[in-house]
Amino acid sequence: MALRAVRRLATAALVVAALSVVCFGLLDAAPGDPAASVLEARSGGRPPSPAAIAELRGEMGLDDPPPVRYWRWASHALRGDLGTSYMSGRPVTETLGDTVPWTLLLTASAVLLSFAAALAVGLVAALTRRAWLRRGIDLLLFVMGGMPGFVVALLLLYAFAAATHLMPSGGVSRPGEPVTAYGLLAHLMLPACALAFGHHFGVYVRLVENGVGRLRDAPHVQNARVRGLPRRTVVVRHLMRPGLVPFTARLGVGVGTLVAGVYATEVIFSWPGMGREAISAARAQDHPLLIAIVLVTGLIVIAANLAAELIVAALDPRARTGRADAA
Amino acid sequence: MTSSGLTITGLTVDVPGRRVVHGLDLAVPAGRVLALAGPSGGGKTLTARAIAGLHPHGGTVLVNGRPSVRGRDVGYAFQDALASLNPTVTVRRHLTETVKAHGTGDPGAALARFGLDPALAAAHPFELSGGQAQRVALALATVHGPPVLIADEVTTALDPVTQAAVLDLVRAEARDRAILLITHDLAAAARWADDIAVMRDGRIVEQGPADRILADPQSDLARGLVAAATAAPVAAEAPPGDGEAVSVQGLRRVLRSRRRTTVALDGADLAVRPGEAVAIVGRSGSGKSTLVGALAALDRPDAGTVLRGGRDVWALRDRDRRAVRRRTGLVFQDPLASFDPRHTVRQAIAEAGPYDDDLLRYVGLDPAMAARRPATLSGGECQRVAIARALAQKPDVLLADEPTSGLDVLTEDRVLRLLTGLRRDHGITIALVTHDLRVARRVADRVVVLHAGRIVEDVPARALDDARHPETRRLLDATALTGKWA
Repeated sequence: MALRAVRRLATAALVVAALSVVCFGLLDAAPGDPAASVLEARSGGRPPSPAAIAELRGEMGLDDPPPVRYWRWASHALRGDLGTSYMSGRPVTETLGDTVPWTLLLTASAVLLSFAAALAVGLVAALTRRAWLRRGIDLLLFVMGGMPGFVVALLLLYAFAAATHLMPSGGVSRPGEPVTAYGLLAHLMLPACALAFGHHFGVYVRLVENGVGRLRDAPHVQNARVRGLPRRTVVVRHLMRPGLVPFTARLGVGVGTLVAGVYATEVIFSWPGMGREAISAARAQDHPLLIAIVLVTGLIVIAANLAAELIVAALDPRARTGRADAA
Repeated sequence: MTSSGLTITGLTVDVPGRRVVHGLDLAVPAGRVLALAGPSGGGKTLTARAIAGLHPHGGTVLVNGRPSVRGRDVGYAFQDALASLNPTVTVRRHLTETVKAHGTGDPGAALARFGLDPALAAAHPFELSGGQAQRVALALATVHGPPVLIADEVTTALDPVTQAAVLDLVRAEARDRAILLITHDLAAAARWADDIAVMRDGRIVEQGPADRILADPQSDLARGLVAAATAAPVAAEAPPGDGEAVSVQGLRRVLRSRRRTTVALDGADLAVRPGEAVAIVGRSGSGKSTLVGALAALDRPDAGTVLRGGRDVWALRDRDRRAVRRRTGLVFQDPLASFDPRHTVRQAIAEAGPYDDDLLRYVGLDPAMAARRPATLSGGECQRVAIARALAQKPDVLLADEPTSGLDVLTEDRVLRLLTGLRRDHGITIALVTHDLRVARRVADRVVVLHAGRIVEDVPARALDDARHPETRRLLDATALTGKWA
């Protein structure tokens, strides 16, 4: 177990390193010139002169060959220095410190909301004997399956903010007021729901429904019933525990999907997270900031996958010994 | 009037659309074992499930004179023991939850009664062998001391040595409780039960003391079951030809998985003459199926040679080796799993060779079945389609891996006769793997016993009783009814 953990962490570190190389390479190969963007921004949109661009490129070190630049970036990054933003001149770590907590809050809320709801709806669908209920869930998932996250976001905005004013439409607090716990909760509600109930939601419901439903008449469940165990034990220990393994195994990937949706959601709801920052950084070719945000995203996904693996191992002993067959 | 044990009056069981069990009366006094025997589809398992409270029923089920309470009064051991245990929790957890639900019982003692080390409680079901899983399932069914135990085909999947050990333990449980043994094997019923009830189409056809049923069966069904359980060899008398149809020499095969390596074959030698029928017998894990894979030129041995018609198959070019495989018919233990479920019977056969209605007629099936899909056939029909498929490729060698272990004795009898007919009519060489010595005795000219990856015995089938090797003796002793009926 300890060896496996060490191996997993080593793999994770390798993935982060590979991600940084790929990201660096892609940004380098992308058209456009960061120096030109910076000058353009400084001068208020006037095209800069080639001489000015060349001078700034020299200052920024952009003329060095890519491996040299990557090495310079990586050796600083290993010491915790992710460089300074081309646009704002602020250290990237400061910007991350301001924005990443907001993104984590939003993502974590959406993850909890999405998976808890999927669990509840999936269990109802798997265990109910009422046909109309199952058909209703089918219809709901069918409709939701056709709605990308941003459509959900706009619908929610219209229904709860624009038309009814039940909920605030964006930000984390009312303009000019400090952030309070209650206010934050109110502001969090819509973006978290928008992120949680995109088209991917149905996949998780189905994973729960199929995983548990498949076992409903399994011999070991019948055995549990014929032994006269309390219904709670039959459902929780014998039906849900083995039945939720496929769902849990997908949680890591699921978090990845949610994080991918966080960028658009933050823009729509003016959420002060790194997603908004990422989009402006991409427009401005602010490479240091962009790489840092990609790496943070990668770290979140990797951490989620490790967590999912731990939960699966706790649920299913076969996963602990590397025997994943017959789950 | 209070009667101890299990008393069933007028039991009826319905499945959607029809009645499957029609007013059954049965009484099993405490301390006795009643075997409920009969062909598949006769309603045995549904009866058992209804008694246990797993299926709604009409009529009354009394335990010690009072209506049965689900979970408390009837312990139930399932046919597939491994599947009846939750893979994600330990053996101990299974036992303690039952004890907790009923407020009585001792997990360690229950395991010990079934000959298991109490330390096994820490294991998860998938870490158990087939025999261990079955013992755990029985311990679990009896840990809280129910007055009735139902054992539903608990040994069908086990080799004879393990089967005998498990049934002896079940028998021992009858000291203080009534036991209902569900089986299709009258030989097993006779050896381990006091009384036998023979059941077909949801009705008890005949009922009485085991000795009497065996010695003097009254009904056609009971006579058929007794005959199938004790029948004389059906082996063809045609003498095998000279030379070797298929042979292996010094075969060694090591199976490597992530966690362990197993020496499946450790220097096995075997030669089968053209037109001969050889039974390969052995316990679970003795290397039988690995040997079949090698004989079929499908699985490459680590050492040793496989000869077909005198030529080393692994020295052949790939296309010649494929030609050898085409001339090898294969019949598997689970026929259903060996068909593509989307294929019709006709498509399944046509994949092996040109389809012909006569193929189905030959195996005793109506050619109208050609349009059906395997899932709609019974186990015996499926296995006969598998044989028709093997025939379609015009094989000179037929390899059959436990072809009858999932079938009831009457169906088994038909399939065995069919295999024997293949030798007579087509001169096909047969190598049959089985853990059942009775099957071996009936179809084979020669029996070889495989033990720990080696052939330890090689005798003519009719001289089997005189075999000397300890492993052969163990198998013979464990096989129900040997000596007495052979």
